[in-house]
Amino acid sequence: MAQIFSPTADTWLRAVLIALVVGTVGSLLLAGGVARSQYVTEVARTPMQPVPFSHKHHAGELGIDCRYCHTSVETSADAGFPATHVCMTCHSQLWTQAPMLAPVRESLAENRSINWKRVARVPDFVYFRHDIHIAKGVSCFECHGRVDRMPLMYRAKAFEMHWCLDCHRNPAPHLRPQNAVLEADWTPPADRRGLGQALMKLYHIKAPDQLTHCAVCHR
Amino acid sequence: MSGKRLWRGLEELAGTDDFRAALEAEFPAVADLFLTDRRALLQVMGASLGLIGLAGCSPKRSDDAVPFVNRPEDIIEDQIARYATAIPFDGYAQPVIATSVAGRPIKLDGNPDHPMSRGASSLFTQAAILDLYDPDRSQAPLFHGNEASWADYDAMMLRMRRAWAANGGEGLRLLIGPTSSPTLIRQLRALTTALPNARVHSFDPLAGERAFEVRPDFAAARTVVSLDDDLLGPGPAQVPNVAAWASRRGPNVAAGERLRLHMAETTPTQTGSAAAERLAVPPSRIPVLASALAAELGLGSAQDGLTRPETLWVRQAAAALKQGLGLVTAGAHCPASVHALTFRINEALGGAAVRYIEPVRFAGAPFLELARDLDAGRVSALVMLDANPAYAAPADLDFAKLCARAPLRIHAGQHVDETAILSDWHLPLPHALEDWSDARAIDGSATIIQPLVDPLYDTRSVHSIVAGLTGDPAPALELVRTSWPIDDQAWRDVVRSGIVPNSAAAPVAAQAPPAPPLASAAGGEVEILFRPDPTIWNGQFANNAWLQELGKPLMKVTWDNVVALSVALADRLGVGNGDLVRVSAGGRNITGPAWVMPGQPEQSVTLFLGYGRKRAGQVGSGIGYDAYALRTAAAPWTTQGSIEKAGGQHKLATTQLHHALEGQDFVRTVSAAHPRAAKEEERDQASFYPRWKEENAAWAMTIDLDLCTGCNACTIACQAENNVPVVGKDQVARGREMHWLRVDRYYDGPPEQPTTYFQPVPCMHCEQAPCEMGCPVHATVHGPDGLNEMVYNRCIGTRTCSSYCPYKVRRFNWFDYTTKAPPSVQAQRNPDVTVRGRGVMEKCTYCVQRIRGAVTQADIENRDVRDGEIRTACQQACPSQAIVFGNLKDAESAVAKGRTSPRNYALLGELDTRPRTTYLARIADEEA
Repeated sequence: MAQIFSPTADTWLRAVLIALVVGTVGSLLLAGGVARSQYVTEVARTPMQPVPFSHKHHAGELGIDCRYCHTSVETSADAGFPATHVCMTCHSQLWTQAPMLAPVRESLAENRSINWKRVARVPDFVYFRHDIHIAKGVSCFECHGRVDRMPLMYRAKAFEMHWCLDCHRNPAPHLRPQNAVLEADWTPPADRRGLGQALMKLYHIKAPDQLTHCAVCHR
Repeated sequence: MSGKRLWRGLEELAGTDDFRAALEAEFPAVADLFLTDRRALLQVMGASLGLIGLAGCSPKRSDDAVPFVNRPEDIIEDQIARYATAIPFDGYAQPVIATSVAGRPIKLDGNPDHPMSRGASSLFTQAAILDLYDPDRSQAPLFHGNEASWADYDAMMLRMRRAWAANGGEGLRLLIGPTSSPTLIRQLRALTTALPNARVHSFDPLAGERAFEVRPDFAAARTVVSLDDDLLGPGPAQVPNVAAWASRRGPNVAAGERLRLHMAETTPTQTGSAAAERLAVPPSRIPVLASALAAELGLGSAQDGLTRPETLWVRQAAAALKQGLGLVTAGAHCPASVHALTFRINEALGGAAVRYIEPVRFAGAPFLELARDLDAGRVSALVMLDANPAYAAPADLDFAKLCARAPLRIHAGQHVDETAILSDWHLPLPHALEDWSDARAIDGSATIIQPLVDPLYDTRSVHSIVAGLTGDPAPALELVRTSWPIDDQAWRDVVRSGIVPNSAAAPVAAQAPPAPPLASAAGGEVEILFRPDPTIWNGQFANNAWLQELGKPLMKVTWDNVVALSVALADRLGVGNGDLVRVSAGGRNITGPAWVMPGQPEQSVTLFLGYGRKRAGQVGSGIGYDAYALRTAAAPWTTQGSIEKAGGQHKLATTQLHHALEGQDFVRTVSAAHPRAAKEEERDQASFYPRWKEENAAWAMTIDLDLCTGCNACTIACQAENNVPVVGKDQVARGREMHWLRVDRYYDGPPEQPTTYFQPVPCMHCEQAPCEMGCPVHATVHGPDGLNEMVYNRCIGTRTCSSYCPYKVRRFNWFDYTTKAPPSVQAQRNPDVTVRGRGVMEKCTYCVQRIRGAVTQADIENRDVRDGEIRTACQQACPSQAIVFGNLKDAESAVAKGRTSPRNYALLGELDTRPRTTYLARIADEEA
């Protein structure tokens, strides 16, 4: 009777088995890698803005308070984008002819809004509120990064659910005293752990299961 | 508590196979679709799998952030603003607080500071917000059907004005729909002074025969005898009437103090359902009953010819009235002789519980005079303001022909309707939320109507149009401001509060109206009664999809009007629900689907007005039959005629058998002797379900069935708040209606004279929720505060939860009901509530957006949520305050107290699902 398997059959079998394992593991790793890649999370994405506004200059070097432009951050779900008039409080006096600021002047002259591009945002089915986070001592820089060092605004964190949950499960290390919420250069005290625990009590932060159930953010 | 055998429809009472099938199918729809062939099933499954990939794609949303150029003070883009204003309904103001987000009005609720609302609202008020965004609204002036401009119209009007100034308005006639606007009334008076030969006529297809404005005062009454007056039913006075009625029932009223209703009526109504003694009589017997009642109370001579039930009813009513604190009312449509009699009876009873007030609405010359003058060719210019006589005028007048005799016809309205196409000029009117006006509520108190949004279309206020007849069309604000000679501060206060202080109509010392002879001996084969439709009213809401899809309170029919007839008459004709019948009277006839109405008296047929519109819009045109076609000027409310089987069937989309529960004792009744509603076997049992950790909040709801009148305001309020889509008649017929809160209607007793019960059923938010066990992807989960949370973006649409739900409160998006809605309709949506996509399950959330809003606000302020701070949309709308919501963990909260009542029971309590929504049993009226 003739041989059913050729001499190379074993090799083929081994090669196929190895390829299967490597292929499966590899594609899983690839999928995981893509999901966490900057391409998907859009971390460091720097969209083109109508005016190349520098937070580094305004918030960092000049030290303008965040709330000067993002007026409703303490009182509303949205932090708010500045109206053209807010830009023009200074720029009707400073750099009045700068070509870079032409869209701002046009906006005012033609009574047409400036279309800024959002850098940080969550999906539509997430109901995020700025006001409660500020009230509970979560600093702007916690989510938006060191805005005061960004010449052009880019996304500092992956705005994904696991990232939100990291903090909602264990808020203590992310809390600051009220006077440090807007402070870029705040240095935590030596006893960061103790401060976190004290602030948890001060702010009446709820237990993790009350901060992580679905209806907190989704409804 | 009694072991009643409740039934939802005659099919159930008869135990037909159709009913069993409907009960067994979770969605009656799927039964139709069932594929018996394995190959076909696999093909469909394969196609579905292939399409999943496509369905997963969604368009990328815009990244744009568009701030103001100059932000107005106090306006934050995403924050809610509330303004007091009013929505006119049949001329009467319905006081509201309108909610606006980012410049879009999204919700209307009652004004808590207004005595005619106290924060509650009716289904019409709730649905009025959708009318603002109706894509079929008239958007520009039309001249002979072609788009024209206001400048063209003004040029034409300038010529007409010169002619009228010369001849004193000879031949100028105005026809105006119901209005109570002090500004408009002032303008009309000024117009007739300036042009003494002009005349103003009123047009109201639902105008009654009452000589006065009558306000029954339930608070001062212990017995109310109603002669076919649907006090608690739909209408402009529903909210204050139901509130006053509820204040005399419920937990805080002692048994002897409870308001007792005696009702004699033809078509069963919500008032009849709430009555202790209900008598079903054809319309011709109402005058007889009125005089018999008068005779029993010593006014006039005794009547003979009463049937035994009539005699008994009259005796009981008279006996109750004699005990004092009683009042008698008669439906506005009853003949004048009945109103004269009720006036005399109330005078004889002391009149403490009835107030007569100055007329609130404008009373112009009768419409019939206009018809006569049109016929005689005495009208050269006819201006029709907010009226639709071409649809609603008595059929024997042939208004289309009459109208053609006026050389110039101008129509102003929100739609290009039946009258608009007969007119030379059509002028678009703004919605009440778009321009300034004013109106008086049912008690006469005035509200300034302020706009919340710039007019969406090229409209002009009715005030400006009337001003334009004699001079320049001034802006509405200027005209309204002139009517109120108060200083600017007082004006601002009045606008802000939504009520002009001390503006209620003064009481008048009414004289007994002349008593015309008691007419109406029944002739003909059947008596025909015309009633406004319970949700579409006189036809003005025909294009409102929310109101079309809402089941009529008693019939639960959607998207249609029916010919209501009695069980006996249906048997004799050999017709069932949906069989076409032809109703003839005076040489005219209409054909419509029959509806066998339990409780309808034998030889009577009720026709519902408001349908059969030819030009209502995409939603309302061409559905139902036009009952106006049988109405004559001489007999607008009742007539005699005949009925026959027409042959053929009309498919009715009725929800009465949908979402049927399997079990018993859904609605319970208790008495003073047996106050306990819950049963022994309904205590908590041993369970495999996880025990949830007790937290500091436990949201719960109680619904008091003693107070519910089945008005459906809650259903529409929920629809407006929670972006609940409309699915259309075909889908409703398949059991796919999306209402998160349904009002079940049950009958008890014989179909000729049943007792009627209503039961609103939202999600029960079970502590041991079967749906949570069923979901394979954890899309419905238990929150720490007891909410049964729905996570839409996890849902893959297996519908397991729905089949596990014993209460049948889950709704499935079989199609994409939302993204294809017209853009203007999408503008109404509440931004705090996710708009659900296709293939996703949804259900009542206890208005989780309101809970989260209040909890977060309390968190910001480092305090606990106060009792009453969170109100669900249904609770807020409810005119009788039957719905109470709150935190069970707070022993002082209203809901916690309600749960301790002996009347408290759980729906399907024997299943041990431990629902957070519980019911308070209805209290039986004591035997007389």
